[in-house]
Amino acid sequence: MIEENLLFEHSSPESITIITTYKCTAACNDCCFESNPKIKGKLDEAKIKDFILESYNSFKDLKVVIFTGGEPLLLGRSLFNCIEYASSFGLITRIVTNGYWGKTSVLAQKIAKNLKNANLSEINISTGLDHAQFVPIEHVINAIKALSEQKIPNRVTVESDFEDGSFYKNLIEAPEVEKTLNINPGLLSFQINTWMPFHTDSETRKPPALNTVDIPCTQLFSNLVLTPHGRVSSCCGLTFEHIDQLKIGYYQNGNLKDLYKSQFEDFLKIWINIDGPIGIIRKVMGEQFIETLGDIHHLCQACALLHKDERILNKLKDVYPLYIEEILSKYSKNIFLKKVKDELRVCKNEA
Amino acid sequence: MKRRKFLKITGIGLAISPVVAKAERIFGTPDSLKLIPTNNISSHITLPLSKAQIPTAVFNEVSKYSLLWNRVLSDKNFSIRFFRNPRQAMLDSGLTDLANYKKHELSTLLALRDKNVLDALEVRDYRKFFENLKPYITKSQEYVSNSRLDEINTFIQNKGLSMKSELNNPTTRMNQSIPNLVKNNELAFMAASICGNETALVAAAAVFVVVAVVAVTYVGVGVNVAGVLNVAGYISVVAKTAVATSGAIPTSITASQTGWLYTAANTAEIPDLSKVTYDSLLTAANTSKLNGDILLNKISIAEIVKREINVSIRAAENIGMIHILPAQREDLIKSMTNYTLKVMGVNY
Repeated sequence: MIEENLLFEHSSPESITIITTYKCTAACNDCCFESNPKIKGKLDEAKIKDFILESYNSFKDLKVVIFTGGEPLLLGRSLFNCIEYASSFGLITRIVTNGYWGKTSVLAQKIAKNLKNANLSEINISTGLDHAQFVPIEHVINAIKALSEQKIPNRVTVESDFEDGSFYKNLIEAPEVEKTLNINPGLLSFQINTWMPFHTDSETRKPPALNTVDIPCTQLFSNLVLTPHGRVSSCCGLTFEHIDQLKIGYYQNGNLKDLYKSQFEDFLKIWINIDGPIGIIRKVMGEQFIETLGDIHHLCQACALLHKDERILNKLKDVYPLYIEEILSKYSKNIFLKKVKDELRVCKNEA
Repeated sequence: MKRRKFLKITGIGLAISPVVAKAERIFGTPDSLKLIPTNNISSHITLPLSKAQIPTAVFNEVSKYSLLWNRVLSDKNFSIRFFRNPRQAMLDSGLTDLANYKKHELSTLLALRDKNVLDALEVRDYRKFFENLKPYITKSQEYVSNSRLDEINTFIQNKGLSMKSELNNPTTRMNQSIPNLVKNNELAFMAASICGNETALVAAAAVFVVVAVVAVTYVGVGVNVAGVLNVAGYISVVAKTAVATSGAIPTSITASQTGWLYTAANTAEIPDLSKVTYDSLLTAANTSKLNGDILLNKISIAEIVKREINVSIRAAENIGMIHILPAQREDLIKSMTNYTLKVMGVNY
């Protein structure tokens, strides 16, 4: 099909995410993978390196490799080797960790040094109210200090709190954190990541404004994910392990490009990329239906609703041809505009 | 205060977990817990995008569009000729069927091929933006027609706005005064308030481009400039259609009026959206977004939008693209702010 070539030939992931293991030192109540210290499923070093190499050779726009989990540092030496391997291609490398390895200052310094030696570009430490039940804030602070000493850029992600919560405030106002911020202000930053419920008895937290989650999903097509089970996923959003349609196949040497291309056979993925899950639900079900869905905390929560609510799915299957022209033309324009911006960036750099 | 709330989401099967028995999972058991994951590689297609599944008319339209864009993206020489003269490039290349295809979209893209237009948008320099956009908008005058009213209606409905049925019939609107239009439809009022000669009437659409830019700039993360284009394209059509069908719009403006307005616009002090003010408001908007303080988030965004629209309208006036009667300025700013917030989905 002509448009399939258009969409595929001019698209490329800019990042790959490798979920190295589901195992984690923590067992947070509303973890998206229900990670814990006993859960099975991890990738070996050879498989990770194959995936990195094939991604590098297949996707022209690839820039970033993200190692996450579970807790990726449970892979030990293998993780450092894989970071070094990805860096050798000139790719930006990032790990997402809970900071458990900051148990003591000495241990934190050792790990931070290993990460530096592996040429790690940047790190995200995930923490917050749930994480802190398993990884004390003091350990996180040790990790923050050690990373700063090694001059590794670090963005600390704090899960959103209860209405009366003060975790975020306590963290950024901790004397050791303030001191670190003063010494290397450009290397440490903080962000709040929206929490979402996974169980019917989850203690819900204050939802964000609807307009902050009523957005397109830019992760689709710009990211490609390898899971600990060796599957390839279209995204690594919070609910992707709950949505069959986001898993596009098993990774085997040589099939990555075909798997990526196969995503364009599913119009819903293109649609999510343009209108976002809430935008789609609004279009096909109407504004009033959105109000019946209750609190929506996260874009990925809406994506799960979109894929699992039979009422929405049935309506989608009936009406989607009506939206094909509009959505594909918008996607084409996105591709075009990206090309123009890339050209302009090159011109500016040359100037 | 912690609160426990049972989510009720009808229509989703709740899986009973062998691992976590304490509560029901809202979205079922994640694949991470399944030792043998479902090996169903064909299940990833929800809405098949194949010829067999799509009505022929839709397929043909999409194919035409794909043909054009594939050529623009793949063939550098064609791309250069296309942006110089789209119609001629298509005819020369045998794309005769496409020569009259979607002119409005081509014109928008032509404008955004211009580095100066893009640069001005990025730094929110509306004076430069209008100056650089002006030739493209004037050139694209021909593309708008009332035949797209259905499409416009759909767009407006999708955005949660309402278009009164009488707007579909120009004859019923011919004798309506501007105040009536305000009550009936603020979009028509906005278009009616931006007046001038024929060129200026078309250029009124440019103001709506800014409205669109402002809207998507503050919607939140994940909206890129391409999103602006889509909104801008549609809104410019809306503006032009409202202009073309509204009997309340002056068909021309006298030289003395123009001169007076132009002088006034030039001598009037342009209200500055200073960097300090902008940064403070944006910080307030971002902080409140993170904290889930919906009211503060809305207030901050509304204040930025209002100020930004004010500045952009002044910029358009100063280069003579549009003229606004002083008595209507306040209501116009208010309407445009409300409209922008609606487009953004912010019910303020």
